[in-house]
Amino acid sequence: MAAQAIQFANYATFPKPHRVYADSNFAFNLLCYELNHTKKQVLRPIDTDCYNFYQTLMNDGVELVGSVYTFSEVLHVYCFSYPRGMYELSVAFLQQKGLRVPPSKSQAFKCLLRSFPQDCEAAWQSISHRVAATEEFFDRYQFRLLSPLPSPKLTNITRNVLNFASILKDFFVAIEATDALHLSIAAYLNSDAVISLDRGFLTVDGFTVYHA
Amino acid sequence: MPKLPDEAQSRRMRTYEALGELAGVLANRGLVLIDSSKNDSSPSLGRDYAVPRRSVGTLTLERAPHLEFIYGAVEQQTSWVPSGLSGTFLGSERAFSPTAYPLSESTYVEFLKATKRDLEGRVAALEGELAEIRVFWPTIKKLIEEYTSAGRRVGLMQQEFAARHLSKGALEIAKARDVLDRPLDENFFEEAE
Repeated sequence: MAAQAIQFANYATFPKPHRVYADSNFAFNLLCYELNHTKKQVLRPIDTDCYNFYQTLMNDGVELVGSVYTFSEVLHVYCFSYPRGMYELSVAFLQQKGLRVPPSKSQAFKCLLRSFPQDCEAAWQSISHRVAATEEFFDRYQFRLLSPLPSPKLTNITRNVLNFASILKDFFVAIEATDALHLSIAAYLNSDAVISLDRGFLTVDGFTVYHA
Repeated sequence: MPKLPDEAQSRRMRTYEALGELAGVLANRGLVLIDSSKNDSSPSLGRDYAVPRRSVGTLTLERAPHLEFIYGAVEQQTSWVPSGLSGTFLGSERAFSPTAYPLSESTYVEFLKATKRDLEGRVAALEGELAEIRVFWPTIKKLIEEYTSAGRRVGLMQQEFAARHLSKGALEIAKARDVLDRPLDENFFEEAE
């Protein structure tokens, strides 16, 4: 068994969903489209595909939901890994200083943060607008970030969500731990389907997955 | 049974035929006509069919006045009952009204008593449900309070954050500063996570 996989192009041939959960890679590609659509030569086909699919959903009145993980993953990638992000700035700074650059980008960032805190702060200030831009992006594209829910004192919904994610991760080797969490949250939020560009999602039965 | 005049006998036979059809329709709906002159529940088309005193299956007292109306019509104007009596009559949305159909006082009193019993039963059921819910009321109240105060806290945090960071227009700034020089790799996101 596997997930019911529906390509973006085949959306119309299946029953229309009411609510879909967006994985962070879909949201990030939309952000890329938003930032770069005036410069068509740098857009990847996948960015345009995601945007067109997003438009189809909006035209159909489909509710687009996500979780703190959707938000935080997009924020992290945009602030740190996207070109001229903190990783790139850290490596460039260390090279400019003639220092040994650690093998991983995150180590380079930590090196900058610990050894040159003022320069690290200056580098951050040059791109800190990305935090607010990410927020604004989620608002403008009408993502409803619905998880987690309140009431940590009286209920333990989070624990239930994590339990289900654990079961999914236990059964399906192809999905990463965070992706299992995305699926579990999507199920908890009563989403009809998940949008993801990650092929691992397609291996998990019991879910409907829209993909490019 | 005393012998009836021919005309009366003929009328009685036509009545029985019409009632036979009615019994068939009722049987299809899981209902049984009860001869109130008998103590068992075997179907009968005896003389005392006019006021069914017991119900079987889904026949309820609420419907009994309808039945009596039909029986009355059968007795008084046999030709009124259509030969192919369909179930639509019984399923009619016409509400029962004592002024619309002539009923005996005792039948109407029985009807009201049954209605009263029915309503009392419903009230008792609702009271039972209420008692079940009442147990959880402190928890529900606590949840609502917690949710409301959490909502208030989050609202304040949002206001404070918005005031400090002025996020409006940030996306426009980003679009000016962060346009790419070249396309990202196909697997950029997976590798970047």
